[in-house]
Amino acid sequence: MECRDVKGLLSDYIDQVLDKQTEDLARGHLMSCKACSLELENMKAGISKIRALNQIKAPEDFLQKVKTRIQEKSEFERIVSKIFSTPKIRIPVEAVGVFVTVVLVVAVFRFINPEGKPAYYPQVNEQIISQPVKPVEYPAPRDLFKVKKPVPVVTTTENFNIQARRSDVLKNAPAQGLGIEKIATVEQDKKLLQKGGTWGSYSDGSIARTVEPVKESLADKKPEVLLTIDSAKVSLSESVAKIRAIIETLSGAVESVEIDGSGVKNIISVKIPTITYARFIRELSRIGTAQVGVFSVKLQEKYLFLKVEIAVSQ
Amino acid sequence: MSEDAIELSRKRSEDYDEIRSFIKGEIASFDRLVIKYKDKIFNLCYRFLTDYDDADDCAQEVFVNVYRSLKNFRFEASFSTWIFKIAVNTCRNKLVSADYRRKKKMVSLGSPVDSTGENDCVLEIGDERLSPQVQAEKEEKDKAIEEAISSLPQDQKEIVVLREIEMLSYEDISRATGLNLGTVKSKISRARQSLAEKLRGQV
Repeated sequence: MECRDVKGLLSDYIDQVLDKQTEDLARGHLMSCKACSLELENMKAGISKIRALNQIKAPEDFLQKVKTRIQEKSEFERIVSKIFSTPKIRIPVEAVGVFVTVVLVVAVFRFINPEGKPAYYPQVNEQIISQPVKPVEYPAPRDLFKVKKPVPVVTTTENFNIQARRSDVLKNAPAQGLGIEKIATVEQDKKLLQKGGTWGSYSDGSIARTVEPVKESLADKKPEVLLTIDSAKVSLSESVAKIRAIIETLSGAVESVEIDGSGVKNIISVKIPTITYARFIRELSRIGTAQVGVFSVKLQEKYLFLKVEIAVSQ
Repeated sequence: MSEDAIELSRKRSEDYDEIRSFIKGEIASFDRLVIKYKDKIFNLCYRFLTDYDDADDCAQEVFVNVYRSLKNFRFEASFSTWIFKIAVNTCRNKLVSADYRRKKKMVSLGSPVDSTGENDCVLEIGDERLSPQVQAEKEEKDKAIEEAISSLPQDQKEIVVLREIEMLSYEDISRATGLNLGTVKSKISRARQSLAEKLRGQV
């Protein structure tokens, strides 16, 4: 073993952590080499001197200082945690589970069907949509949630007062294919009176004017849904009232009611939230009207615009 | 089993009892642990930081850390190894802290610069609290040894303090410093060679 090797082993030799064979070799060399032996003594002396150093003791009040410091830190942390702590609300695990499930289901549904169309969305006849029977003024998007009071166009003169019934224009309007619109009270529409327009008045004091009826003929179109009950005895007015109630329940709106002069058929323009379509059809099947046909007109935003044709047995 | 091993096992068992008692809510157990280890930890901090006030502050911090972590003690290593590990880390943090560096810079301004350039920590020689009851001659010797230790690179100084002053085994030094056993051995060997060189004929 060379001096260089032994010098590198001196520290381990002193601490007796060398393996037996290496230790024997080192010992043999140290016994014969004065320089290495001196090096070993030097190192041992250095270690002894360091080990003989006085131990620096902690001050007498050390324990008290530690306790004070712990107390100060705890106080500080208590204040900080009080300031920044969030209110402790216990939320049942079940509630969290239900919430997470609902969120996941909605997320998956949105991912699969980003436009929000339900799986039971009706097969809309493109031809009907591209060639609408009559353009309809739909409310602006911001008004979608306002329930708009429908303005019915009537074609009968039964409720007219004598003056109106005597008016040739109004009296002959149905025969001429015109409708009569009840628009306002006399007081409210003096402008119309001043303009000398064609008008008449109802027995309740409101005025009427002739209008072009909505000439929508759905006769040659096939409804997406057709419900028929042969033995039904529900009247048209009852059917309209029931449909109004359904629409109201579904947060939709009745756009207009077109009354056919024959008294056996009405066409109701409605809009419903798209996702309520299936429920709407289900409810329609329960109103007991002899025949109900549903035609889809268009899809706008989250609303589905439909025409519902109801007919009673003659 | 050797007598040393039996003594070591008994001490470890005593410490474990105190810790269990503290975890159950007996604060006095913590006090007893502080009293038992305060001098060892204080000495270690002093040897690392070479400043009495810094050592005082650091040793207090060590026991505050112990107080906060004791409930998570896993009864795997001995308490002494565990607390030395905390002490080494606390001292290391102190050494790299901005306050400590600023303070050392200010103290060093009037001090002679070490020829190796490694001596960042200058011992406060004039501090009467260092060892007030020790004779002047012993003080002079200690001063030379302390300066020799201080002149070592920080990593070697840590190992020397743990081995020669705190008398930890290589295994415990390895646990306390996070270094592997081979690295510990090679560092202690280099540090001893360097110290033997510095102290030869000086004292």
